[in-house]
Amino acid sequence: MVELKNVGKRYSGSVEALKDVNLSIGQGEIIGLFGENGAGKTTLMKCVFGFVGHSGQILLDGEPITRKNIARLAFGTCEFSFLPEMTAAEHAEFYEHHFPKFRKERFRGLTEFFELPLDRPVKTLSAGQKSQVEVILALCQGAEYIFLDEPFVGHDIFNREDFYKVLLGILEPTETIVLSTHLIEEVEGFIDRAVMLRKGTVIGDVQIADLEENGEKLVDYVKKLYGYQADRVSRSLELITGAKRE
Amino acid sequence: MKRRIVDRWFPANAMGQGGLSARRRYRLVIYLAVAAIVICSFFMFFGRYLKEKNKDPWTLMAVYRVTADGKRVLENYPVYYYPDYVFVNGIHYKIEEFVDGQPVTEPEWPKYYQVETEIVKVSNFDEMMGGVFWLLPVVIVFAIVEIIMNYCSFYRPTKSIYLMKRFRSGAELNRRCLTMPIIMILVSVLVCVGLGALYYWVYCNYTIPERLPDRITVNIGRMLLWWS
Repeated sequence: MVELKNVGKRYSGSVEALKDVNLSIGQGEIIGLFGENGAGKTTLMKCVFGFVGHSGQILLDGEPITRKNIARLAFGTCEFSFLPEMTAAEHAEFYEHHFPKFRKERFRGLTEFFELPLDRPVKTLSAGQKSQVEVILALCQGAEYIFLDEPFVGHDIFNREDFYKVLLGILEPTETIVLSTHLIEEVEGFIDRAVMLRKGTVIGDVQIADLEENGEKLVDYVKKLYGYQADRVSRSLELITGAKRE
Repeated sequence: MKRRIVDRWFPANAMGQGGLSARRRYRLVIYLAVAAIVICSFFMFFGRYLKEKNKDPWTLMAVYRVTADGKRVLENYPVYYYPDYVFVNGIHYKIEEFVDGQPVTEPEWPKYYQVETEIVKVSNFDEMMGGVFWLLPVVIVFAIVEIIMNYCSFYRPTKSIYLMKRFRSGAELNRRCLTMPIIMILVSVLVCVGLGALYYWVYCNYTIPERLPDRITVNIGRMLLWWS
């Protein structure tokens, strides 16, 4: 289990990216991490990996996350963490060398499924293919906790659909996914739990099964939680154009 | 397989630069150019050394001092030689006449000194070695810049630092950033020391014993020879 206890992060100046975040991520869960831009989703993930300093505690099965146990966590990011000059095949070798639990078969299967060219430097691939490589590498690292930060940037709708389906098909019960995305409606059928962040604070943490039981849709729950005003657009348009709208 | 071996011994930075594969050649070209300059600079000075009759004003001439009992003692003095002037051991003389085709100055010069018939350039070993070693600081500065660039390459254009930080040890990142610059420095040092030793060997064997410079320089040279 990954536990975040009173985690806070203040960037230079007075920008408080995370405020007293408490969160438990259990093994085998698929969690969606939602929030507006700047809500703290990426910062939260970076704190887990120790890429940025933070206050509070982050524990993996009761132990602080260090080089010793960090290989149990994988990270796929929209900023990309691959080595641009290397080909996908070279990445596989490189990962295999550094991560003993690297899932070679899964890598082969996924690259074949997405028809990724294995012999071209990753930097020469299209934006969508680059993010596919990034996500595939994170999924194949052999980690128990896989953090994906906006992994579907540059993917078309079909590609994303395929990804969700493939993911659900390949994940083992012990594998945990934490998925940060804005595509709430799309991932609703894929995730077990939704965590909502706003201005660095967790404002909601709900099981999808509970929502379904109440007959509520995730997107409506999120809108309610964020106080989304449906008539905001029409009011603004009235103000701009002077014309009254229904 | 071959690629893996190359990557193991000559690792590249995040942008694939610094190693030895085809995509990484430009750094290799720079290294070779630096090595070539070091070697050329050696041969440049080496050639100057072997040149018997140089036209450089700075030279060391062997001069004979005539003692009271009429014996001639061979001495080494640094001499600046110009067509009309001679500076012997820091003293300035104007040349008035030539003895055996060589300048003779007044007033003390003819009485005490007679310039040897052949002017042979015998620079000090350390002075000549400076020509070989001056590139080392350049190589070191270049290597430091390279190290900084290598670390930066893991932050842009992709954040491969996030991958490096997930490895069990931090050695991979340092290996990729430090290996090639350190190899570059080591090769340069070895080239300089090796050439210096060769140079010294030639220096000792081709210079007449009376004209060998002071003992300290000789000892430094011997030490370098032994070290290499």
